Amino acid sequence: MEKKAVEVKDLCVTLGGINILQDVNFYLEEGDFLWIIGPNGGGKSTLLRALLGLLPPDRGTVKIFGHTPRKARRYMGYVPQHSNFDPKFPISVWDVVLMGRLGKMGLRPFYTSKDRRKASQALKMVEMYDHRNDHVSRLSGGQHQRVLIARALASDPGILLLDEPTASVDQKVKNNLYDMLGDLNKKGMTVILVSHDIGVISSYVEKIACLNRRFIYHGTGELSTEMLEATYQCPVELIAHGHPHRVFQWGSEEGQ
Amino acid sequence: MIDYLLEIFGYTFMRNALFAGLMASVIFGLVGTFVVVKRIVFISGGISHASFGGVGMAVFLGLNPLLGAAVFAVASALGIGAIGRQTIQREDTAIGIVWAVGMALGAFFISITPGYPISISSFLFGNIIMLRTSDLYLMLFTTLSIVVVTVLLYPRLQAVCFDEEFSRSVGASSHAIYLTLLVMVALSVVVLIRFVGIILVIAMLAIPASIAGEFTYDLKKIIIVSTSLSVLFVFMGLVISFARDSIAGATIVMLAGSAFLLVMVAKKIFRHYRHGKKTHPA
Repeated sequence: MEKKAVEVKDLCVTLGGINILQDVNFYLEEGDFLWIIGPNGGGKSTLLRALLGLLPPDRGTVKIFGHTPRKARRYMGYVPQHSNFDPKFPISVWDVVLMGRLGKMGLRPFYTSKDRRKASQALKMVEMYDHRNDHVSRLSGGQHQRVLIARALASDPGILLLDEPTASVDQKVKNNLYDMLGDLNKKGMTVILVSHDIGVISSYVEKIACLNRRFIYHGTGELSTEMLEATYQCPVELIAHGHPHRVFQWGSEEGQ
Repeated sequence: MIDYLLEIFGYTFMRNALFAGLMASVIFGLVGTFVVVKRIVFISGGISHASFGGVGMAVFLGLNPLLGAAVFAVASALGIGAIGRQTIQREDTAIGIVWAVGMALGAFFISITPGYPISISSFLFGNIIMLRTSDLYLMLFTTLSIVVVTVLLYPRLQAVCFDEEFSRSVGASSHAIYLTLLVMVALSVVVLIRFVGIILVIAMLAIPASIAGEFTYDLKKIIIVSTSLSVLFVFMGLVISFARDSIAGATIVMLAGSAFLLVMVAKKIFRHYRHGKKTHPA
C-alpha cells in the first residue's frame, strides 16, 4: 500500500505556555495541493515547522511518507517567508540556491558538480537562471520568492512547504507564482501553502483548510462560510468569482 | 622613511608585534566578517568581556591568565549560544549580564590577589610589550585552526548565517555550526587579548568587515578586503604607536574607526552627488 505523503494525528503544539495547535488531524496523498488559510498568529507557520521537524510536538504524530519529520527532511522543500531576510546579507542568488543542497552534502566540505547541476536546474525551473549572479538585495519581491522556491527545489523534494509566499507581492506576481506552483503540482509535487491572504485562492488548489489553533478541513477544495467563521471568529461573507468554490473574495476585505 | 621603518622593526618586541598583527588581521578579516553578517557583534562583545573573569580567576589561582580567559570565553560562548536557541529568555539581557558579571569577576579576583601584581589595563587594552614568543605560537596555531575550520565549513557557515532555520530544515546541524562560530570568536578573543585587549577586540572584529561590506556583496571578497584593511590599520597603527609611544591597540582601533567614518561620509557625499546629477540634469 502506498504511504500517505503527509499524515498528521492529534497534533498539539504549545510554545511558551500558549497552546498554538490543538488536535490537528489531516492527511495528504502524493500530488495533493493543500492551501491552509487562517489569521496571523493562528499557528500556520508553527504547523509548517512541526511538519519540518523544527519543533517537537507536545502530543500527536507527524508522518511524512511514513517517516518521522527528522528522517523525512530529504523529501521536503521549505520556502520560508521572504520578508524575514536581512536584505543587506552579502550573498548571490546562486549561493542561496546551492544552500538547498546542504542536506545532501554529508560530510563533504564542498559542493559537487551534481549540486551545481541541481541548482542550475532549479533556477531554470523558476526562470531565474539569468539572475544567478545577482545579489539578492537587487531582486524584486517576486524574484526573491522564486529564488527561495528554487532553493527548496534544488534538493529534489517530494513535498513543497511554502510560508506566505505571496506576502508583499502584487497580484500579477502572485498569479505567476500560482501558475508555477500549479505546474509543479501537475508534475507530481505535493504542495502545502499557508497564507493569511484569502482574497484570491488559486484555481490550482484542490484542498483548502482553515487554521486557527484548530484545523478545519473537509478534504475538498470547498471553502464554506462556516469554516471561515469558525476560523476567524467573526461573520464572514463569501463572494465567488469565476470558478465556484475556487476563487473567493472575502467580503469584509472588499474595497481595500 | 624606509630607514625609520627598519629601525622600528629592528626591535624584537616590534617585530613580534608585527607578526602578531599579521595573524590578528587574518582573524579580524575572517571571523569579523561572519560576526558582522550574522549580526553577533554584541554577542562577541559579551564573550570577550566575560573572558576577563577568567583572567582574574587565573591570576588569583596563579595560573596562566590566557588559560582562564579561554575557559571563560568558550563557556560564555556556549552559554549565550544555548540561550539564543530558546525564546523564553531575553537574549540581549542575558548578553548584558554575562558581559558585566564577567568584568566584575575579573576585577574582584585581581583586586583580592595578594600583591596585586598585574596591570588590569594591559588586559583591557592590550600591551604589545607583553607579547612573548609562546604567545605568537599560540596565535599561529589558533589562526591556522580558524582558517582550516572556516574553509571546511564555508558553505555551511554561509548558509547558517543567512538562514539558520532553512539550514536546519534540510538537516544541516545548524546549531552546531553556529556554536562553532561562537567558539571561534571566543578563541580569537583569547589570542587577541595581548594584542588589542578585551575591550578593543570587538572594534576590530566589526570595523574592517563592515567597511569591506560597503564595497562588495561577495562574502569571500569581504573576507579578503577586510583582512587587507586590517593589515593596513595594524601596520600604520604600530608605526604611529612607536613614534608617539601610544597604546598600540588603541591606536589601531582609532585608525580603523576614522577609516570607517571616512567611508561612511564619502558614501553619503557620493550618493548625494549622484542623486543631485539625476535630479538636475545639466
